[in-house]
Amino acid sequence: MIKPKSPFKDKALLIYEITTFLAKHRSYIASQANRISDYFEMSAYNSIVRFYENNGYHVQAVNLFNGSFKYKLSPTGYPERFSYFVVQKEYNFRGGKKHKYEFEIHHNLAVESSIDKGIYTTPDISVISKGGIKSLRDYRYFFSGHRAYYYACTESLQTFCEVKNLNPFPELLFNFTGLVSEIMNEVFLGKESNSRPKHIGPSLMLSGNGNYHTRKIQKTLTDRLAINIFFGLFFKAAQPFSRYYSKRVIKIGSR
Amino acid sequence: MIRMFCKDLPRSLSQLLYNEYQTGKKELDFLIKTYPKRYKWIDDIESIYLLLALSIFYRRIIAQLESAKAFSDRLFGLNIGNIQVGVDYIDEKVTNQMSSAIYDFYQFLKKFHIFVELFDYFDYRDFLKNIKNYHKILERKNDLEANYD
Repeated sequence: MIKPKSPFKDKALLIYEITTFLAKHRSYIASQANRISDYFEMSAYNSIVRFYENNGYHVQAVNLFNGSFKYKLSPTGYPERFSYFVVQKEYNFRGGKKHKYEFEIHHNLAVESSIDKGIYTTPDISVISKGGIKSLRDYRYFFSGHRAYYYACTESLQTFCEVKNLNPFPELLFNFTGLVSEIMNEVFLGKESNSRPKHIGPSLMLSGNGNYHTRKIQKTLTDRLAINIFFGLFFKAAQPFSRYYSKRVIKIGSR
Repeated sequence: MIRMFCKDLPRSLSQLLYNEYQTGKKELDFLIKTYPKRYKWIDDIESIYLLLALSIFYRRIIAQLESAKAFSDRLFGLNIGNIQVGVDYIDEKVTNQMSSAIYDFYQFLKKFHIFVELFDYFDYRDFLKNIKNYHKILERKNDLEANYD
């Protein structure tokens, strides 16, 4: 039988394997260097789409440009110039009535505060009702009014997610509740809607794993509010959104 | 140890890897020096550094490539030809290169019975705990092999 190799005893062999691997793939990795940080957000975006897919929604990528999905990298830029996902779900009501619900999953779209009109912030991922984007052209705001500012109005926002390629720490977790309070105040007050179709609750998605203290904070926050805090998405990116685990995901109703 | 990973990479990325490695190395040195009894099982610190460098490389690069691949697989499944990310495109050719890098990485991990869960740590105490468990598993495997022979 072949003895298992050990990095403690066969260190030279491990170094050789690493060197061989890098010699083969170094130029490719170097070519991707500028995009590496965007890939984690991409994975989170993919996970949210997967959540809807596993919850009976029909998923469609729209606003394609010559068959290409144009990914929105930053809050600037007009949403109509970028691709996004549309999710649809049809309900059959009593008396044979049917109703089709349609939502858009956007990336880096500004949303209006639910407390005060005229102030905006940009969560990483936002789920809005179809056609819920409005625009504003005001010289006091952006680019002296030369450019329109697009945002999702409060009524159309269904849920949002914040993605951080970081290890969890207390301030980060508590800051997220501030964002929930501003964007979806009813969730913060515990008065979220319960009507179908359901959405994933506002979520904080972190790549790093938590320690005892941050896990305790995660538990208390998710017990108090209808929000999700996911840790360790480096290793189990899709797992919390899988068909099996999605039962454990906290959901809220549509607005 | 990290230098071999950083070689020829753009500065933005190599600096990130290098700084993380240096921080981790200092932390490991501190832990091993402060708690010599707890970490007496460590007989070769260089191997620990090597695994630290490998973990940083996995977390910073390979895990991210896996993320991009999962997203592109979804879109290719919907018959979308490519993804435009800024000025770059992720098409089938790029995805194949990604798959090849991911596959080769896992292949050499497999040779050493390294599971990526080894790299799943919150702090460096956790990291050393994972390494200790891995060390134990390897020793047990070696004992089994010796008995089998």
